[in-house]
Amino acid sequence: MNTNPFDKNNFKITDARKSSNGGIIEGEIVIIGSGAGGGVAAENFAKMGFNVVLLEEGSLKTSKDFNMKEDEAYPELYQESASRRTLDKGIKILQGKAVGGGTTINWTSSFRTPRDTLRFWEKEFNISNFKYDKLIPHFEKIEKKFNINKWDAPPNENNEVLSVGLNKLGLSKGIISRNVKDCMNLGFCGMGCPVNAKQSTLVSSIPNALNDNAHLVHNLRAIKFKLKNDEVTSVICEVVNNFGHREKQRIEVKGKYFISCGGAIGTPSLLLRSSLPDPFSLIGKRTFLHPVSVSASLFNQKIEASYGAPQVVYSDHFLDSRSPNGPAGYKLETPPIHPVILASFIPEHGKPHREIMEQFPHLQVLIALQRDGFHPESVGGKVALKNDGSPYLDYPITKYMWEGIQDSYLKMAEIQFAAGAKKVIPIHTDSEFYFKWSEAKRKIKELPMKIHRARLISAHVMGGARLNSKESDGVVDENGKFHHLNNLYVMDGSLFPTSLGANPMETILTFVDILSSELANKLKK
Amino acid sequence: MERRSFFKLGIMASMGLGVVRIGYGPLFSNSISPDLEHSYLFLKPEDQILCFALAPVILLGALPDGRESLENVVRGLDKAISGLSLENQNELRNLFTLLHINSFKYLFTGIYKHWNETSLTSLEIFLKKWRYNRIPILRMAYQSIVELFVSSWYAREESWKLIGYDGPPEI
Repeated sequence: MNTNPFDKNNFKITDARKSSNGGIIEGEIVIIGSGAGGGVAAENFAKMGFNVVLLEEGSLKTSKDFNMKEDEAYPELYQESASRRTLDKGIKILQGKAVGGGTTINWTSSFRTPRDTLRFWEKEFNISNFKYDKLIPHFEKIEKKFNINKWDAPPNENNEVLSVGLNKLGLSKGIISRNVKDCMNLGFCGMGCPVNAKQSTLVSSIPNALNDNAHLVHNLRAIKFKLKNDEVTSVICEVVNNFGHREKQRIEVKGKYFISCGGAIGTPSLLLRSSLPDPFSLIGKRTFLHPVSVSASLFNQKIEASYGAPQVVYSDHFLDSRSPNGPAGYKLETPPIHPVILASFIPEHGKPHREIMEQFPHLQVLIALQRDGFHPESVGGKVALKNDGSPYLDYPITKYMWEGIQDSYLKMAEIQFAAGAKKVIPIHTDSEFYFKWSEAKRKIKELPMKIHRARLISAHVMGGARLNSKESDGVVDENGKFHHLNNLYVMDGSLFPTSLGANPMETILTFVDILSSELANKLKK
Repeated sequence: MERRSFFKLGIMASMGLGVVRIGYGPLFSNSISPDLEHSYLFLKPEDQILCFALAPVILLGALPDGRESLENVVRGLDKAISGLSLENQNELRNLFTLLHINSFKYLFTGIYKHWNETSLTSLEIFLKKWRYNRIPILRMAYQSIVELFVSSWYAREESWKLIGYDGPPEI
């Protein structure tokens, strides 16, 4: 078992709940959010000798706290106890709220940014700094640093079914790379890695930054920037309790440079609350989710999808065979299955709910992640503010996207039957178990494609503060600098002008590594 | 259209609540005096009665007989609600409040008796009605209610052996 880096060191860590109201914290570089973006940025600035303050609204929890129990992990490590949803509640959003952010609770799947996506950005948005070939050495650096390697142990049964189904139907298949070291193949990545195998920023970049004298402040949420002329002078923050609710105490964090890494709901909402100049009304717009549809199936043999690396096999067949702005495409993967997440997602109650739960060890589940943001009828959602200043994401699902979702139900069922499923059920209020592919094919086409009927989920929030060298088309420039202020930067998943069409962690790590190293070098001169 | 009607209903529901309150006086009659503990964080005594009535229907065949499991589920649910955003808690508060107003309750659930006197069949009809409802806010409410109950139950170790989940491995 790898050691817990927080066990031994005299790190400079402040629990904001134990600070006094009206306190002031000062640093040179203030980084807001400690996920894939903030972790890497903190490490890079601290390494160059800057005085870094790293703020995180979640709590500092480490391997000794991660007990693999859903009822503790979801309230402690996820935004809104893993019950965050879009405005009309049509899509459930799983987002991290912890030191390490999403990297603490994600399923370790690591993908380079797809070539098609970068090509689209270049062609449609004139983004020139992030071409695939230019990025290759940077991907390699990140892969080495975070121990990202193709998973070489056999997949669990849940993934094996996907593999067999894809082979039978002649669909393309890939093996997922994972950011793990001495992984014990437990399957509880989503509740925090109890053995420090997952190379989240929690066990890598953040301890490295702390070793270089960075100051971590947790349980503290950034509320708004204070400005003077064209510069941010401080960020006003509020202390949050265990549930993420605001406490009375406030803390002001002063600095010379401010880097927002709060993720694609956190960053846009912070910018909006600060009433920053936004002449083209771009902040919070084009926010993407990779909306996920789910198909469950039953097998004679035990599947036990609770255990083993959650995601090993994937297929980009329905992305690669469709042009990004053609019919809606999606990536196929598997989720880990644990009782609460499964139970809460079955759109039934009473006997039918019970009947599915009783088959727990035999359940096999596939997910399809829609690639959003590439088509005129897929412009994403909008982050805006409620009266109390908290963010919401209004994400309407267009007809174009529903077509992709319906198609994904069909393809997932076909794969599951091809792999030998006895029965298949799309996760939809109007569905039932189908016993044959021909039956599924006919009935899935009749399912009403509506919210609260099709049960949708998202674990990848992207966009909302997109980068572009033109002020009329970007919140920040290609260096991540906010167009209308001198010392404010964005370095997280909100930079992306579309979704990625792949799990975003490696892209965020890579982009932020580039942007933060460049900025640190520039400021040092 | 669907989205627009959703928002309209949200506004109507909160306005309706105001009107009903003015028209019918206090929300709760004194006749409900549950003999329940007061250590709940969110659920008021009348909400607890509603939850005690709904749990056996939502968790039919899953929940063992007897008071203890039932109470554990309702307590778990109470704790789970406390972890939601304040906004979501307010929405749930509104929903519970509406479900205690006789006129709303009868109109939208078809139930006129007290929750603890309602038959399992009537409760089942009410849940089904909301599940497939044309009105998105009712479908959404169904989803939220069911999610809370099943999450609370299946978070409990006592539920795991009944579904064949072996729990987290020893490390």
